[in-house]
Amino acid sequence: MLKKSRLEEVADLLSDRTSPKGIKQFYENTGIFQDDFIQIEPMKFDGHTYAIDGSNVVICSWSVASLNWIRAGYVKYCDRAWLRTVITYDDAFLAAAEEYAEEFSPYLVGIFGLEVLDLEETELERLSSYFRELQEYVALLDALRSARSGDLILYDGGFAHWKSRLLKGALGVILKEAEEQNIDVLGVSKSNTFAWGPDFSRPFVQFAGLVGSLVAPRKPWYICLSKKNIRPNPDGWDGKIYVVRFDGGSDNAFRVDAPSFVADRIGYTLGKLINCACSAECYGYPHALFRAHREIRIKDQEKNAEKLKFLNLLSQRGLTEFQLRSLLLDFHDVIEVKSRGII
Amino acid sequence: MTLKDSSLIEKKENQKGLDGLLQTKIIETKDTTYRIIAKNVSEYHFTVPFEVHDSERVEVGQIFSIKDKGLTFLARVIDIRHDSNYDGNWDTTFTGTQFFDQSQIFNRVIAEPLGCILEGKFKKCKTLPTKFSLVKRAEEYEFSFLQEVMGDIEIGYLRNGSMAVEQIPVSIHSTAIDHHIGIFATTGMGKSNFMKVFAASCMQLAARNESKFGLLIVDPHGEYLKGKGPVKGLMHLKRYSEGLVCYSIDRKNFSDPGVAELSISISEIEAGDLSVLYDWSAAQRDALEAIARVFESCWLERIQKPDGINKMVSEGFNATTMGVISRRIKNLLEKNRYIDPVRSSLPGIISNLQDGRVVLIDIPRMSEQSELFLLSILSRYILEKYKEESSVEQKNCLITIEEAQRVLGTGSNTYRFETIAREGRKFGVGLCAITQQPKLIDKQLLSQINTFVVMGLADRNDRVHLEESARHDLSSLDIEIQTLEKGEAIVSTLGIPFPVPAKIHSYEVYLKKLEKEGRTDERLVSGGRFKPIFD
Repeated sequence: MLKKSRLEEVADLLSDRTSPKGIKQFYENTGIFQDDFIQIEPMKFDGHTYAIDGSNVVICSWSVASLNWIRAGYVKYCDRAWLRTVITYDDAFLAAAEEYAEEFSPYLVGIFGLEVLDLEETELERLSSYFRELQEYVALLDALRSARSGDLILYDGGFAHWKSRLLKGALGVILKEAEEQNIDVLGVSKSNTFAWGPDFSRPFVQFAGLVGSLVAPRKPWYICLSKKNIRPNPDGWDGKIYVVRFDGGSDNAFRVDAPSFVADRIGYTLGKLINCACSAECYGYPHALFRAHREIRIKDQEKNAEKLKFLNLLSQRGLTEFQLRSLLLDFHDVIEVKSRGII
Repeated sequence: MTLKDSSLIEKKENQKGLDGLLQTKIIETKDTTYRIIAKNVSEYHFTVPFEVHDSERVEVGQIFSIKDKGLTFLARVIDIRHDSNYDGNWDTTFTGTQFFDQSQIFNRVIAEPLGCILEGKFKKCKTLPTKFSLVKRAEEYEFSFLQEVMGDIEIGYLRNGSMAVEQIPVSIHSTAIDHHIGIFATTGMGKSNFMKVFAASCMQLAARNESKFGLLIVDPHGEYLKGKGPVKGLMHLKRYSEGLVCYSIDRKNFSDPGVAELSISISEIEAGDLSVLYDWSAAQRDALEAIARVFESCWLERIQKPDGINKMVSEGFNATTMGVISRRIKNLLEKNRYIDPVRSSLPGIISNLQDGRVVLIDIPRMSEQSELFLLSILSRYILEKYKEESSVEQKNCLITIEEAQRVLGTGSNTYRFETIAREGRKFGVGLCAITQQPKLIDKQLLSQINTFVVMGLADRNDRVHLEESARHDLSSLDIEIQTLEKGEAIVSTLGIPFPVPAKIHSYEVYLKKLEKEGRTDERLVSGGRFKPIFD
């Protein structure tokens, strides 16, 4: 008999460990039991729902820095009806070690009343991601300022352990203000790294979704992950993390982060949301977040247009095509014999 | 200062910073639809909300205007489709029944440019509106240029979708009638109503001495003279009765002072007139052609007698053949009592046509063959007279043929009508071909017809046949022609720059309007820019 290849071994491992082996094992390993699946009751909600999102694409990069285009904003809904889309930032961002302070300061200092950001060398690689996150927080704050008590704000991403995060100051201002104004804020993540099981990293949210379908078929539900045996440990901050299936007919569950003041009334808050998470276009996902994603994302055409504009500006300043190629060329593309497109 | 006060001040400061830094762009639910989004010089696309109030619905045939700087483009809706900003089959899965984002789903309207208006002048489009130009329903004032190009024979109102634009009457030019007219519609779509409206307008012009042609109508159904039941006839239009001359074979009508008894003198019948009556064999056809030569005069009487048959036999024709011809002629004279040894209405008919009147020949209950026979005599006689006489005062003539496919069909042996279709124009004689099966009309003859009144054709072959022969391009109107309702029409004619959607007047309503004309300024329908058609 031929020896199994490494690929076959991994395939065996994956199919063995990721296919459902029974609820019992899930219960034993995670500490999550049937009673932890709490059904969400729909709530009558007359207020507005806001959904915040951001987008970040590289326009050009040249070994030590990159020029990105960043867009952030939010959409506003009343029940299932879209009311408006607000773009709060839509501009270029220069991600360079010497320049970033000038880019961040106006927002950190001017809006959140915080100090200038001082990044470590390892964090510099993520400059544009931080700036995008900052702009999302600015959008979140703008939404918060136009929201009324009882409204619901959804953020595309997580809040957990926010106090240890780089932009903790900004998020702190937001969550504090949201609590004061009695506005619910939830972070909804499309992806996560939660795993369970003693010997192999089984994807937790997917498993929880399957188990939820068995114990609460055709029902929207949530489970709180506090004090559960999940990696990485979701505890250790003053909010709570949930796994939520927003619509009983959907196969998908999502990680939802709620700050402590929302966690206290999480069933009520989620109840305001489920009526708007069953749209035909994106079943089982909060529709406002779906629309925010589509409205705010930077499309390839936009990216290419900005790149052309930038190259044109460089050309007007005397750079020849040869110089531009030298500056912007990624030599991997040459080796891979890839089309180099515009440049 | 309390902690709360401090927090408030901090928040206000932050707000100032937020407002100062943000250059917020806000997109709301407005101006996201009714804008040109595609496509080229010959086809415009624009979007409308997928769900609107009934009164806001877009319909095939509706005319929209697009204002773009100094130009106003007019475009007619030829199709409407569901569309959305999403790819894939999101709307055909079970989730499609759940709620959806109303502003991302819309109807794509496909419109055909009619032309554009520049400084009040209408011209064909050689350019296209700027992308995202605003689109709105055309207002009646934007059709005012049409009034300048309309003719003198009123048939209805301009139609915008299902709505009549009462300010813009649709009228055919008298000058177009010798280029022939085709009326095409399936049963019940309003052909007879159209003809009565058309005839009434002609009567009006004749009575005012403004007529430019005489109209001959041969009515085998007896419906035009006095109508039937609540349906009115041409004689009910008393105000313009001077413009109408009636001949009938029905004794019941003879007592009416406006109706004369129809008679055709036996001497006016030519052997060629018989060709439409039967499917003659080649030998019989040869004999018929020879009869006039052999007998010179009174051939119809002599061929019925034994000596006449013998004479033809002596000329080399088969006795059996001559027997059949003789027998058939006897039958003909027996059945068509209007054939008279002496009297003839033909000179009167010609005279009235040349004077520009409407001449109605009422032949109820007459067989199809006899009707064609009569029509054949009339047509031949008219063409001959118009060839002979071409005085300045003589007015043109339009000969109406019901079920025209019988005489203008491919392979029909009625060359007489074909001759008029091909040559009549030179002598001022036109044909008004009425049919519910245009596909049966010879394509070459159809191409001679320059005015089409299309009133709803369910058969695709009929539509394709017309589209291939029409003066204007009707191919894009296929859906609209399919969806035409009773009384609605597309009129493609000379002198009007595009096929005009029309709502043909209801004859009874038009009758009332004509009777009241000049007495008050009362309109046919009152009030409102667009009047829904319910009748």
